[in-house]
Amino acid sequence: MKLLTLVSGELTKMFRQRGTYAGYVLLAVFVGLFLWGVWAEGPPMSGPQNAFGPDFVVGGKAVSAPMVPYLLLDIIPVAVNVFIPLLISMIAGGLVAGEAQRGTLRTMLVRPVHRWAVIVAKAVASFLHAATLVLFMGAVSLLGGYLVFGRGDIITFKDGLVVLPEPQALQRLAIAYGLTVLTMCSVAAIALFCSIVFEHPLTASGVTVGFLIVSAALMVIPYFEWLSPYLLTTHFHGYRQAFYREINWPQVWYDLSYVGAYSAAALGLSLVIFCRKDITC
Amino acid sequence: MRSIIICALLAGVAAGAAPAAPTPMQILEKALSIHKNVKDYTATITLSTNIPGLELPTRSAKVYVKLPDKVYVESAGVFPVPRRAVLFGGISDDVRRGVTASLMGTKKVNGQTIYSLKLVPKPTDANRIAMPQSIAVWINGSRWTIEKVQVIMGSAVVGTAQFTWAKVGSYWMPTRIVASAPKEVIGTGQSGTLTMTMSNYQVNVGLTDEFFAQHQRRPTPRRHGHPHPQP
Repeated sequence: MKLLTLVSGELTKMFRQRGTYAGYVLLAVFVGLFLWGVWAEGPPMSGPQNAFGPDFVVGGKAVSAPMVPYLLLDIIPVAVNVFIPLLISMIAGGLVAGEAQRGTLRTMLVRPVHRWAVIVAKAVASFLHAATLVLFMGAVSLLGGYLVFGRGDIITFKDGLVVLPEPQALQRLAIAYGLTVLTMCSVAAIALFCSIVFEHPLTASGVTVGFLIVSAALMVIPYFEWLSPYLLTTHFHGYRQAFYREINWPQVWYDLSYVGAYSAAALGLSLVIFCRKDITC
Repeated sequence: MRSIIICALLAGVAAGAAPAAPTPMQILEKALSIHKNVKDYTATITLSTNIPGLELPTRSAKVYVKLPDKVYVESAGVFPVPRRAVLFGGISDDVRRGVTASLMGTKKVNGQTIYSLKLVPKPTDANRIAMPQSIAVWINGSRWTIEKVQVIMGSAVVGTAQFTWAKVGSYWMPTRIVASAPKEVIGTGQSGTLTMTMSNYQVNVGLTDEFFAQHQRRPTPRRHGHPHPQP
């Protein structure tokens, strides 16, 4: 009960900040621009007519509502790779460091609550924030897609040409966005850890983003090929399995185990450091 | 001597009385001409596949066809329709490019004569690009419908299509086409089949060119260097 109260308090503090809403507004603008681009310029991938060739007449729409959140996740994952981690880092990075900077951290810890409970509450709040960002992007893009393009299938070119009819497409989108939420929670956990280590929120956010950039850079530098399987960003795209004909669940669990390990390590270290830390401000 | 002359005369009469067996080309042309009075039609097509590398849900769509070359598929979801199958153009196109037809045999099935023909493309430039080494065609001699087609490369059958027909008004129209390819052709260690079931035919309903122009896909404006999809 106490923990729930703490989580509720953290969420209240989080959603009192205008910066939190700015993230959702920016995401909505981004999705809106993306929708306009797809409507005006066509999908950023070859359509089914190209796949079947001139010997076939292909009926149906190349772009439909479920295609929009799919494209945002799988074909142009700039939001998942950059935008959402940045927004998560901004908020989660300020959860402890921000309070330390404002001088409210000591006041908060004067209350009869365990330090671990404070960190768990902040972690839960940051996870919820990460989840809402991902789900907000999915929901806005899907609703926008229904308004602009109407109903239809998801067409993917994984493992051959796969057409997922609408009910299955929505189910797969739910799985993919669910997996993305879990992945983004690892970013929130790392940002929270940085927020405890660094006393300035901007530094915490910057270090979190820097960590992700370095991780992504190491993936493509040939000297560090051996390191690639252990990097967080290597396992960022486990959700892509949701768009194959058959979901390769062992691969999903493998990716999730790394994401979970990073989250657990960040949270564990956060707890250890925060519980032993001298709070002087 | 008299009996020999009588026998010879009888044989001559018999030969004159019996209808002349059609030549392979005549059989083929008869089969290809059964749709010459079909100007246009609409039908509901149900498509199902089990081709590896192609995951399509089994679904139905309405097709609008105006011969010789216009097809519109009315479907909310992705629905590929083999152009030549609905335009009855499969063998016709090959014949137009030039083929040599030979009769491989005849067979009686349920009292109906089935002609088996072998079509070998003439060595023209168009054929070198478009045609396989030979095509085997089975034609029902009582209604002149194509029952089966096999595409042959070397000695291997690389594709088979089987047809089921039903009378729609005064026309024989296909109600089921099963096209299959062996695993060697698909290259995934598994053979594949595409089944098209046609129903609700309406023949010669007067579809206009404007109808097809209206339903033509709006060309999508694209950035430079981003190619248009093929028509």
